[in-house]
Amino acid sequence: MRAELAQPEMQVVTTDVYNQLFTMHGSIMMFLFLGPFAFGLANYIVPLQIGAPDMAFPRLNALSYWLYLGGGLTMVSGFLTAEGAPAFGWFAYTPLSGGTYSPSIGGELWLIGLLLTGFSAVFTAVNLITTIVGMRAPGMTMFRVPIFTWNMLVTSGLVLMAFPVLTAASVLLLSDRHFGTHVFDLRFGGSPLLWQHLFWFFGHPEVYILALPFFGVITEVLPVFSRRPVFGYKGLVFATLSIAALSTGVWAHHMFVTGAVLLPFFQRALVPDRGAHRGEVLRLDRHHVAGPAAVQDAPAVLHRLPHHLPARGLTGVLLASPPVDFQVSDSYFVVAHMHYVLFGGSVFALFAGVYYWFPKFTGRMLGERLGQLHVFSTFVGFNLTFLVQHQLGLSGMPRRVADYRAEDGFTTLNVVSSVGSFLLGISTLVFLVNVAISLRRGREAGDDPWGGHTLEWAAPSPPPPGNFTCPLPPIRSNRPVFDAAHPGAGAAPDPAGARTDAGGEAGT
Amino acid sequence: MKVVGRAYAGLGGLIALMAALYWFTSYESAGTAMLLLAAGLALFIGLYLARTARHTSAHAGDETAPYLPHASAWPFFVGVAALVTLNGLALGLWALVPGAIGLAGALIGYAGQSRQRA
Repeated sequence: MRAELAQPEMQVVTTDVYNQLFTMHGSIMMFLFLGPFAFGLANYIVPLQIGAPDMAFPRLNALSYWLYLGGGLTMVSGFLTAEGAPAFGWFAYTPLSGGTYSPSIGGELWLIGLLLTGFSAVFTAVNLITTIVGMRAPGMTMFRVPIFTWNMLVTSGLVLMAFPVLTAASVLLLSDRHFGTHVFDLRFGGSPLLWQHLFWFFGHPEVYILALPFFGVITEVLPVFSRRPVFGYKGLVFATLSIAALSTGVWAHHMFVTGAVLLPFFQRALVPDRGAHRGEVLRLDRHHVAGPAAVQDAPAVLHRLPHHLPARGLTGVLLASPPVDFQVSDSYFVVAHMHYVLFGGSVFALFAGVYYWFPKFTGRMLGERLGQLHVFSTFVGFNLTFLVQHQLGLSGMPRRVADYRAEDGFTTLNVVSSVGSFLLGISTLVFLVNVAISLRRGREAGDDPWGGHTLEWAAPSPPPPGNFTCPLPPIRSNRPVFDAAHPGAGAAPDPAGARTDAGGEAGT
Repeated sequence: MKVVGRAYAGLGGLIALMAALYWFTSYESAGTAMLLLAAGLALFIGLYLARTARHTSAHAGDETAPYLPHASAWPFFVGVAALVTLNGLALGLWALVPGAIGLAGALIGYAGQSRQRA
């Protein structure tokens, strides 16, 4: 897509193929990459962090995986059909996504893929909630549970509230396309706008489903490398819960330009939503500012992250205001905002998580030199690609167009953006090469290479079936491994309160 | 369990409040219905956890090691059958019918194996 947009006129693909590409890019990133990555990570890390031998329902876990794999393959298999993949965008707005304007079988396959991955997400969420609620080790009260696990608990709840709506909407659209119903067909009394309501009731919480797990990752990494307990543990938990609740009530801010939603309600509802988000970011920034920068040799990614978090939040605040939203809606400003949220926030944190837990997964360290090269090139490539897109949007370049005219004045910034995207692609290759080399020849990591705080660092690397080979350390705070390794340092403040007895009822 | 139950119940209550506010400011039915559904789902989880917490505390001391089953091929069969069944909607009856029969069989096998704790 960036190769096509580097210059005016069409050079690389046709308009229809370009439309298919941006549709499937959005679909893959939203439905098949970020969320599943977070839940895959949680499958591995959550049982370790709570001192459990495995997930509560291992077979349901397997079923979730197979449904996800089948759904993903079905979704992308549209490329193998004669008409190609769907070209209606990942929002699939009706009537464009209906049988009249998108009659190709790729649309059906996309919806079927969505159904399968939707069931997969719900099963995984049920599994995670059950695991966290029912399989914590003695002493691991809820207010001693690591923040990543807390965030996965809240995210799982969001999945249970949001995904059924998307699944129902997909069934209705599939029914319109396949069985001749008219739920979204205005000519027969249906409502095309209903799709937008249903989709965004899923879509806005989905942003947090893709963000909260990675907030959790950063909240695990920052305290370990700043050598201090989590700052504002309970505040983080309540901010996360508030975000979850408020995120369900602001769906229609994505629909401001329809002119058919109550602007004051959604504008005002967004203020506390953004406030809770800001609260989390400020608490994370506190580690960054106050920590003694004791980074030894790996997840330097996180030191780039706090610069992106304010940017993602700031553009979000702007888009919460209807007058601004009217101006920049469907422009490249929104593309830039979305990528700062999901790449600048979540993907950077995802990489931090991989660097942090790779030694636990494999027993080996990721290579330092390639790691630094990856971080630097990703940081530069990301900002080159997406920062200029804010200006492109403000200058009037619409999103989802395969071409523009030379006299529009968009060429220079598009060249910068495309160069940045190529650098971003190369940086990902560096990361993959680093992983491949480190898997074979990486330095032995030992069980706890970082001086970690939480229980996964008490397990062997990689953990055997059943996870733990030695008795767990006493759990008297939210960093039991640190407490056991530094008995003279004094216990960390216990967010669960004064009770330190194993298995105490407080906070269970 | 109590904390998680209360958290979900609180979420449900807050969303129910938003549903009321939304209805009386917009009189828009789709959003209100979805908010009520979300509130109901959150309250359902909260109440279920509260009930389970009561049940668990009533049986305190009966703790047994968690049941962790052996590897099984049934989840794979269920996944493949679900894939074939749903793809049958796009491909035709030749895939839909065998897929649905396979899905029923795989679900029976999955449930049967789990009931036997095999």
